Amino acid sequence: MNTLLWQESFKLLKKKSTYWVSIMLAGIVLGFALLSRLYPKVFPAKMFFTSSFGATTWVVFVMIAACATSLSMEFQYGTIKEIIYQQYSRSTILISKWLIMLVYSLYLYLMTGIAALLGKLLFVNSKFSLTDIGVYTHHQTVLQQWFTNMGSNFVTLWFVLSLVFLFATLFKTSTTAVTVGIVTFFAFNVVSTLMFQLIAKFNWLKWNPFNFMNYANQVQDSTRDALTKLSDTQLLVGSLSYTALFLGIGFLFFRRRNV
Amino acid sequence: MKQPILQVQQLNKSFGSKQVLHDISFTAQKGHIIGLVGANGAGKTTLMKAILGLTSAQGIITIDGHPSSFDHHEILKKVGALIEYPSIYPFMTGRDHLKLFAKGANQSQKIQSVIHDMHLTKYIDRAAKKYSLGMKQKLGIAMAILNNPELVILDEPMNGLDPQANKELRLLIKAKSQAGTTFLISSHILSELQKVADELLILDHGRIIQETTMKALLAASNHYLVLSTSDDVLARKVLTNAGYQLTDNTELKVHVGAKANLEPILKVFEQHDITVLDIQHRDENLEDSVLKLLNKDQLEVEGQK
Repeated sequence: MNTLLWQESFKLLKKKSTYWVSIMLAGIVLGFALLSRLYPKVFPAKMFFTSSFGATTWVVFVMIAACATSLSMEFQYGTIKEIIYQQYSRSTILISKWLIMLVYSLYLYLMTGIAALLGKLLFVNSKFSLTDIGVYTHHQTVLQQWFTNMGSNFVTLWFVLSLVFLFATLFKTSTTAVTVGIVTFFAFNVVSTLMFQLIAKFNWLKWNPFNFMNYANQVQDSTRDALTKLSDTQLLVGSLSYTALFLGIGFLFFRRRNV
Repeated sequence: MKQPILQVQQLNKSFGSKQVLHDISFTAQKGHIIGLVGANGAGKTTLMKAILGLTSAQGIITIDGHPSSFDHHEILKKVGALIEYPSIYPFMTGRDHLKLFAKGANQSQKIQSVIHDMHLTKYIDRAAKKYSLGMKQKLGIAMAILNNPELVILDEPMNGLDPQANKELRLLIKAKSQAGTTFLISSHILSELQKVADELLILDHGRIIQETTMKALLAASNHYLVLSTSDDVLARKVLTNAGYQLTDNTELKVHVGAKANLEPILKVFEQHDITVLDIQHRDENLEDSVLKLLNKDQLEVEGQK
């Protein structure tokens, strides 16, 4: 397992895109912090800061691509053969890929978080304090709201990534997995109005997986429970369960996959 | 008898309703070089993939006394392979590939040694996406032998190699086999395989139709004498009358046994005042022998239909 983890991180670090992505994300965060200073009415600094100046959304893009390609590139380049006919089982191979992607996503959150703090200090330090009361939540400070947002967004991120991994195990190219990830994440907001109407009509539909994409939104805006018909805890446990389920299905497929 | 490095027993594999491997059984002894020969679609790559746990199959595969299967194949740490085409990450250099897959002690030494053995020094630090087909092939072979495996499985290793690289590879395989490494090599370039393999598995329609040594197969093949005389027309006539079998109409090609005896032929010529100008021995090579076997098998298969 240690060898596989080392191999996965070696490959990730050898990709130039890994470094470009870090530089671009840091640039975007600092850029939006600067925009918050220049156009405070369009980009309210205090509210924008709690999403690391928009980085949590950009990280979703990056992670969808990274997870899809971490598996599909092995099929595309034929290197999956080289990996499997080492002594390791398919299960260990897939788990090592999950773990490296988990570490990568944590790194991106940490890196963009530090960039957001730097952006605040450099450009909007006078606009608000981390100990101010948050914008939407009246019981949390900006700092607490920032952490809550990052935590809840991270749960939703991995819900999407579990679907990406599932489709990456089913198809040899990354296109399908990337499409599924992006559509799930971004088209969700479009279809959610319809979904809430259906949930209002058929209560059992509240258990459909897409409803759990509301977790991060509901944590930030507690009035949403009227629409989702689920508590924050139910959404959290449900999100984690669906994530485990999708990863598990992908795992079963991958274990039986002929190369 | 020493424990074989590879033992395959009753291996069967189907893709849907089409069975591609039928009761394949064979044994590979340590230090032997085994050639795997057959037409396209005969099942060579599938057999290699099954041994390497890449594709599921029914049967028993034992490597150095340990069972190996699709799900559990820890023993594959003793195996190196190149299957179908070299597996290359375009964003890494050749040396990165070797670093990525080097295992155990003395990794730097293993990497240096394989770079030297495979003559990769000139381009090992270049991005692999810029490699030619031959360079990729050599890197793929280097990855297969990097960790000094006891069994090396090579699928068409001569693909894309120039004559010099072919010769170097042949010498390297020979040297490694003498040091105890076993090779299972499939190749369509039978002239190259003839120079390197000591044993042969001939596969057709998913069945082993012959398992033999290279020596035995070549000894059992046809041998000819090609003669040039002062009067070829008369020579053909007198040899035919004397009971010799001539197989060609354009040249004087006489079918003889493994140990050709020239004396009776010369006597016949002397009686008819024919002078021999030139004699050449011509033996069937591996290609001829394999094609003959495959054609025979094809006729049998068609006869069964």
